[in-house]
Amino acid sequence: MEELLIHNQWTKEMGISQLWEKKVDGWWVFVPFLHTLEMAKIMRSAGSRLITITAIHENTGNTHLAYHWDLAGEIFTWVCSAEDNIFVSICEVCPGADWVEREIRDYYAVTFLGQSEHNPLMLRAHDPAGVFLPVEKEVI
Amino acid sequence: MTYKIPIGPYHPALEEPYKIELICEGEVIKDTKLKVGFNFRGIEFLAQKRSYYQDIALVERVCGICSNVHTLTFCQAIEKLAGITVSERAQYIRVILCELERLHSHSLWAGVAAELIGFQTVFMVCFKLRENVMDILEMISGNRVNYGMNCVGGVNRDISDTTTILNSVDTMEKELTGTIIPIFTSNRIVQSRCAGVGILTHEQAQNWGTVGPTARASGIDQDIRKSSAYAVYDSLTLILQCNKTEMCWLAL
Repeated sequence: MEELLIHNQWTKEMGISQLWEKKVDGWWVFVPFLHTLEMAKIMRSAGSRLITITAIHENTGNTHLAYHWDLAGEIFTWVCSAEDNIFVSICEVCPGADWVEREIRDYYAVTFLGQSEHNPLMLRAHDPAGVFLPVEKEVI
Repeated sequence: MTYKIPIGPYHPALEEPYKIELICEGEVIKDTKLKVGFNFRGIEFLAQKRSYYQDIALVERVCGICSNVHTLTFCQAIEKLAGITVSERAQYIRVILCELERLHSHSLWAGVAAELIGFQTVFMVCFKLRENVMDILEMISGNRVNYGMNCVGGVNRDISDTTTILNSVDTMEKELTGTIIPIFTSNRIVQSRCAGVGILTHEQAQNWGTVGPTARASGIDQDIRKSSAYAVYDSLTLILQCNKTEMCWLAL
């Protein structure tokens, strides 16, 4: 219970009302329009380490991002969405996120504001981003 | 004078195609640029188009060195979703496969590292050890690269001839503790190339999300087999190797 209060302190610091939920694979919280850089700063100052970021494409056209963090063996996942799929890059505090963000940009055409590296990671320099997005069919 | 040395994307010293650009001043490497993505196959996308059973064969081909861990992770995820319990014997067999894979992967990288620092003899010794590990893997699974051992709910094959395997393990242990470890810990050639260089501080390791032996060489005392134990790792004794000197030598 005390653990849960500590995690909720992170969300409270950001003025977020959502509570953490314990699942079989760790702690989860869904925060739409999360300020990802602020979240990364809080998580890093708590001594946690970024594991990876996963992207989930919705039928609505939105892409949800899940930021997975490790703190002394416990996993904490922040899930968020963003308007027009424009997120803030967390590379400023977690340089290790660079490849993950670029890979997500290649596959899902998500924009990361503040990303200093504009070259694709997995695709060729001039390939269009979003290779994993469903192909939109023209309906006559 | 600053100059660039390009290595790759196709080069005998690289296990996979990637390009490294070294920015040098004299004999000092000042910066590097790395480009990957030369073998983009879209495996995640392909997996969405297949059934879970077909995906097992697909994810096994993500990597030729650590093929087993990909199928294990995938099968464990399905088992968690479907609420399937795996028998204890199958879980032990999974752990044996995982450890053999670690051993052959680590001996491969130790050998490659030895080759890159110009120590060809150790490269040969490491790869000889790796051959022994791969012989055991072949004995168990019938395969040397993609073992096809994991399935949803357990493993595809049992281990029957334990005596031969244990004898091979004893021989490997002697080789490892008597030859390879002493070379990497006390040999002057290795020390002159690796000690005191390639410093990755604890803070940097945290920022870059470092894992495994690289993280533990930078003082992050964590091992996934202990912190998020899977299969039967929680019932095994694991001695964590962690060091705070932050040198690439310790990671090696």
